[in-house]
Amino acid sequence: MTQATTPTPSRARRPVLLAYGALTALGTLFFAGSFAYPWTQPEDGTIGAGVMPRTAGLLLAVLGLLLMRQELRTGSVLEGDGHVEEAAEIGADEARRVRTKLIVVVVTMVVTALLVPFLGLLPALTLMTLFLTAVVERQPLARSVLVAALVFAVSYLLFITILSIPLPFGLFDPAVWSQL
Amino acid sequence: MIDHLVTGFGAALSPENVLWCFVGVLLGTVIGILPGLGSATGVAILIPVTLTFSPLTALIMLAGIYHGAQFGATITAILIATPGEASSVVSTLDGYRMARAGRAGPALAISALGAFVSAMVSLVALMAVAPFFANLALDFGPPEMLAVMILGLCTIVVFSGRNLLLGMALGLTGVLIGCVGVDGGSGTPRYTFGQIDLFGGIPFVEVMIGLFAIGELLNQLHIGMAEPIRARFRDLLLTKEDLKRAAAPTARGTVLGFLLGCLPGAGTTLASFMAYGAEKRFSRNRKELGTGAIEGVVAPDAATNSASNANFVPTLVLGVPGGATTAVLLGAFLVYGIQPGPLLFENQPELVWGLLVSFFIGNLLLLILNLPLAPVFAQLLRVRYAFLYPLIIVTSLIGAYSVKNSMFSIWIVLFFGLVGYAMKRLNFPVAPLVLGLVIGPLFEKALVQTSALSGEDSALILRSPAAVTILALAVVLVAGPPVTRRLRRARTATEAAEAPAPKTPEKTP
Repeated sequence: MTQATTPTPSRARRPVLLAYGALTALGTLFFAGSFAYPWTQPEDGTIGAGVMPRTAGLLLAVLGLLLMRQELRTGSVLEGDGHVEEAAEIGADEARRVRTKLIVVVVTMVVTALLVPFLGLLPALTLMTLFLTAVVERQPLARSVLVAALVFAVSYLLFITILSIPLPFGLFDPAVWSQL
Repeated sequence: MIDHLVTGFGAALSPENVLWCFVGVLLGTVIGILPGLGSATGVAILIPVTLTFSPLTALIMLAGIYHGAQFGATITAILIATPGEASSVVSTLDGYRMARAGRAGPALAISALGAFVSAMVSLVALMAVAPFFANLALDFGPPEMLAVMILGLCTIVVFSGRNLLLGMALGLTGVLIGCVGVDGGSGTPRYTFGQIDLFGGIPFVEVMIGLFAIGELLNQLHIGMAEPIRARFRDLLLTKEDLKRAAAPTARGTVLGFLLGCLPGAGTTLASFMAYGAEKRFSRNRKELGTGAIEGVVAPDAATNSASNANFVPTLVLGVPGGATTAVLLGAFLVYGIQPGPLLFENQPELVWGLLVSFFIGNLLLLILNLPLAPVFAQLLRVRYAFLYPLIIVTSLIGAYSVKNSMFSIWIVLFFGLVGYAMKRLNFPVAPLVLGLVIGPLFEKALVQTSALSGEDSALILRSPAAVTILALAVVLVAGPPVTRRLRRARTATEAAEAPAPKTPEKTP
């Protein structure tokens, strides 16, 4: 299990260590929080709500520590962990461009989610599609508008007309207008 | 049985029933393709549409949706790593790799073919031995179910790669995520922090959409957007070699899926994971699994379809739902005034056999629909990623929202999308986390029930021969490979020691 399959890095990898630290912290938090719940049910002595989180939390915390120790001592790259090689694969400019794009896409998704209560789900997602294709991907505007319109039409047909799923329409909801 | 089949065909083959079966499988395929909208939700949504139908026609259409959703879910799992159903998560492991290697057509076709074969075999088994398996399933009490869940958790070993510690840690992370929400045993809310949204737990489907769909999408953006794949037509078709390699995994997946599907509550997801695990252990090409091997696609899909048919064993014979969708279908039975249970086969033979025969027809229709369409579906990969990824976000978010009609689902998808992205960048295996999340709550339920049953007897599980057998299998699964490796290494060392030393060449004068 400790056999390295790829060249052993000279030192522990920070992102991998951070991830193992996060697992340890998660285990510890669940373990500590489990003391709010009983180990056994007072009524019948059966297993209580605290058993699973306490056991699994403790095990995860221990395993997280073992993984950190493994990483600090050997830094070995095993099949199934620690890829983290993009720095060597792409240049600094390209890395910056990729990072910026990723951040923009993630922020766009978050902003879209925040807009849903106001614009409704379909309109917000249609706007998001238009923004991502036209602005982020710099596709021709006409094509981007067409794709966004298609997204709206197909989603409306599928989810609202055929499947009758009550998607929110925010301020466009006729019920909101009827209140005014 | 022949008489019953004749009755069934007579009932199911009316033009009206065939038409609604077709509508059902078509709608089911669309529902399956959409992430989040699983077969259970699809059937539940469409029950009101069928209220004006005769009970048999209505059930045929709903069953068509159920089967269609299983097929549809695999399509997006293979093409864009976005599983439509929880049970198709495993199809992303090798199916998506095949698609990226320009073999989306064969992956989709073998999935459809394997699913069809397993559906046919499991249906014959369902018709022939349903009462026998139902009684067997009835003997499966909490200790036996606990043993099954332990075996399920042990398959984490298979999905861990060589870093077993990490696989176990991720599996435990899944188990802990599954602890959030109201505890099934005592009704105590755990880790909810007073948030009503968390009372129902962290929803599995949304976690899966985030980890797989959004996580993979962000990863693709990171590594430079995937180029459109323009495969040659002949690469979109199945080869003889593909069919040869798929035969044994289909058989294994079918048997495993049927056995697990008969157990109430075990579910199709567990069947698909365990079928993949079995391939990792027993397949001739096991070393290729995870790199785009056809066995990794066909075995889980065969198991899923087999399990989804076997789910009807406890549903029809005992009136106990085999899984989430059959629970909804059970509700539909009651809506139409039908009482499932041991007497159903005697009291309503036309309905039961008509329904079972409609499964044959539905699966045949699905094969006719999906096999020729596999190369067509594969054309989706020709769409430029600049247009494809916004569509993936849209379908993921709408699909997630429609599970509970809640914004909370969208936030869960976004959060786990980032987690999935981080895991992909660090090359952490996602499957153990998903497996922990699926099995954790089932394991806890079985544990609580076993503890209630055992009282002072803490070794109750060891008194059941079935449970002991399953536990032994779990031990073999965990300890087998390292022990075999060690024995092989020892034998090689002994042979090397016993071999005569190589003669030094004599010098010629």
